Amino acid sequence: MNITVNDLSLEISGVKILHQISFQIPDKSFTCMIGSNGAGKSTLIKAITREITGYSGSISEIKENELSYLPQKLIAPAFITVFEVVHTGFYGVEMSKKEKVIATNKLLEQCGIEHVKDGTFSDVSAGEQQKTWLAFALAQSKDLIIMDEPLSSVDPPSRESFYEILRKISNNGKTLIVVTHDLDMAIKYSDKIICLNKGNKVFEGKPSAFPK
Amino acid sequence: MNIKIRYVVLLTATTSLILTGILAGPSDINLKDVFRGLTLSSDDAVVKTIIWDMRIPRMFVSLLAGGCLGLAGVLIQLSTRSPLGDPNLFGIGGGAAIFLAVVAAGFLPLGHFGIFFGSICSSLLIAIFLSKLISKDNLTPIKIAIIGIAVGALTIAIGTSVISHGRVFPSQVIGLVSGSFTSSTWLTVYYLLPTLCLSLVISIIISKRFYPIMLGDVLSRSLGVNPVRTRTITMTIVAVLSGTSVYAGGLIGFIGLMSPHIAKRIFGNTPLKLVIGSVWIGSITTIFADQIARLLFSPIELPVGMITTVMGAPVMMYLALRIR
Repeated sequence: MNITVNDLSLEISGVKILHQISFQIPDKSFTCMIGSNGAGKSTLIKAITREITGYSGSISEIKENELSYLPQKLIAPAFITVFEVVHTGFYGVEMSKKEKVIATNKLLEQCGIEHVKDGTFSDVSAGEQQKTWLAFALAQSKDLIIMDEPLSSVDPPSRESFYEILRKISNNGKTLIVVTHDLDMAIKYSDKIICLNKGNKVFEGKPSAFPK
Repeated sequence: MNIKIRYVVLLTATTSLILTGILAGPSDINLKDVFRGLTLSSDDAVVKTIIWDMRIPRMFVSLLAGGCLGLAGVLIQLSTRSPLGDPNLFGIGGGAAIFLAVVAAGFLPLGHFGIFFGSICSSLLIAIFLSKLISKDNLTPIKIAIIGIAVGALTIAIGTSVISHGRVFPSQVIGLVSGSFTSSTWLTVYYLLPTLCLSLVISIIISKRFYPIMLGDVLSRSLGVNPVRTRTITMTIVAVLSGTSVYAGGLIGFIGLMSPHIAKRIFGNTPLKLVIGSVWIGSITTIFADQIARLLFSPIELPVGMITTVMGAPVMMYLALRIR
């Protein structure tokens, strides 16, 4: 799915949050959106997912059944297992119970968390929780997945393995947008980097072209 | 343990508790007379009254009120995402307790149905208030529990001060605040039974929506489940159930908190199993607590809510330590 953002500006109570931003996200690509705190990344994502309205400019329309969005702050559900979280991702999907269980196990394996599937979600590591949310998002079988700062509290080796999984998922035909602070990972694994600073787009292009 | 064995153990426990409720008691009736009273072949009107108008209705009321509390507990836990949820600790039953205090203090002359209906409406008011308080996104389970317990403490304080203004017997105050099935009648059974059955049916129908709800409002919406609507329906049922249980037996804490966690270990973790299992476990734990309350220091009775607190408070501490 191609996403085009054109001349997007947004003010919230008189403060300019986003200023004339335009970019394109190609179909089946893995895009990282980077920038320091307060750069406007999360706001931009919320505009794309239509959580925020009242902007000027245009954003290509994304239907609800095309998007799986994982917001920045997710409360860990108490006392349900990793398997159950992922399985819930299939809610409303037309499959038999048996098919859902098989598909859930497949996703757990794909995201490298099959060894903790019976563990309580709140007891597994932050990295494994993040992979669980990813598997949950994949279960919904939407074309576009947007994740807002998925790895804010995860150790470096787990980050690496998380990005490896994201890379594979994108290679399998999903469009991914990941908001992150992690420039190294973005350069190593993504197809495209969009960098924001104080509400302005300061870079859009291939990771290899990103000025270090 | 094998699932069949679990069912057998539970069935045996339920049956023996029911029999204890009917056969044992403070009055000096031997077993033979109890059976005569049961089959109505006894000539002794006192025995018949004790069996048919005291022990049997009380046994039913404790089972049904326990079922109400178990169901209210699981619904509150599933819909608010707080595993420490309990309708009476969170003050929803306290709403009914305030109303019953007003009635007991003589400020409101009402008939049986008026009192029953008023209890439900008052619980509903607190449920609405509580829902508004905890409707903010991103509240952690512990925060939700703290807010709920604060509301609960407030309702008990109001209820107690209202009732202390009326000229009532101390036993009435204790019965309301600490729970008692002493004054159970068949009429109470007739109010409890349809309320519990109807609530259970609706809960079973909407139980599928609870997993999405447990993942938080944003994800729940993305799965096509409207969290606000589901919570409104659920909290309404919780209010009806808590109001009914307080009408039947006063404030009995911790049954709603414990039942879902025990049910989860026995029946499994799908919302449907939890809903049905919590009703059963709520019934068993409550009738068990009532037998202890009746028989431990017989003929003196302990408040049943005291027994359930002794059972449930350690469970709450354990759960609170386990939540991250």
